[in-house]
Amino acid sequence: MSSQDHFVSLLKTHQNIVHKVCNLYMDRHSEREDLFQEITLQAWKAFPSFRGDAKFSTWLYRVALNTAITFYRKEKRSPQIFTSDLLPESVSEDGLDPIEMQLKAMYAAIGELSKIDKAIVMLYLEDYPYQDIGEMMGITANNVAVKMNRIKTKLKEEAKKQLEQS
Amino acid sequence: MDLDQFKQQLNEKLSTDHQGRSGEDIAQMLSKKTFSVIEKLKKSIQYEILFGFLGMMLFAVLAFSTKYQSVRTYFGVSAVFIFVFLFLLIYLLKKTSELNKVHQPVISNLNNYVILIEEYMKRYFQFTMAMVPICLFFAGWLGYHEKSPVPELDKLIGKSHLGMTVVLIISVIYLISFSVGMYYFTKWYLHKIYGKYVLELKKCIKDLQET
Repeated sequence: MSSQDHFVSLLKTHQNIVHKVCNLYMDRHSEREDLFQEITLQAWKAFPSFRGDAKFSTWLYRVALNTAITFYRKEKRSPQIFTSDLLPESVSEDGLDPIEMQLKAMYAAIGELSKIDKAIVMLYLEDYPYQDIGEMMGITANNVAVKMNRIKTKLKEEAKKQLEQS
Repeated sequence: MDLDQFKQQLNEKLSTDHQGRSGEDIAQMLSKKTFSVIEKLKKSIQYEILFGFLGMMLFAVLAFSTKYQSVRTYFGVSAVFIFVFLFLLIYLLKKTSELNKVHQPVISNLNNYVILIEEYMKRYFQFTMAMVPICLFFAGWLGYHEKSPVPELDKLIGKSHLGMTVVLIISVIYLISFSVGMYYFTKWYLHKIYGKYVLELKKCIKDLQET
């Protein structure tokens, strides 16, 4: 198996990581497509540095987050608006279910976070321990814990606001 | 209502809300263009190398084909200057290519980006600003010491019916306006291309370092 085939096979298996990052960082379909392509290319370029001593998923998270955070776009960015195509289908279709309304509000609240906070939330949702999140972000586990507490409070308040608005 | 309450649903929705790509789709993407800022910098440097090389060739041709000593010296020295600068650009291109390490921790990657872009902006600004007085004063000095008259220039001064003093004053005003204009234009241009982006990256670093 050539190096390219090996890479394609690994990325195909773990592509949900890349989609996840794209969904969280980009609000429009075309932007998500661009970011997906960029992450794929950056991962391919960096692939020789993957020695297999870490999990491919962890390595890919690092590449994907670095690419999403530093992603450079030529065109002027429009303000981030969470449109219905961004939201889970079941949520946008049935806005009356209180649980789904809350999920929708939480989803929108995550969208309001800074790039760094989004990355931390994503790794937290993926159940990475604070130590690993710290290593990926380049900060201490204690700092991750402090940030995570702050983010949770922020999300609670923002989700509440989103619910009141809707 | 808090994050942990919806942890599973959010995680599932984020990772499944997409159309899966086939192996062929992914393989096709590998030959496409990238939009990263490192690639953008590399492309800028490659263009500068290309135009620098063309400029050097043009200056060398002009230096060898002109009959005026001052013009020959001016373009000859400029061609040598560009030749040396080309090596610097090639070195910068090599350094930029080496820095494209997206598998590092986020904070190291961000710091590398900021250092590289700021260094590029600084050198670009310094080079442009250094070139303005060097070119203007070098041209003026050589023109002043030109032994054989330049008929085109004499004709121009003769046609305009202006005295030598007025021509000199106009030249000085032109030199000052050009230098000031270049200073502000270069600053504006660099800020427009990279300034906002660097600020955005610095904000991310600040967010990460915040305790």
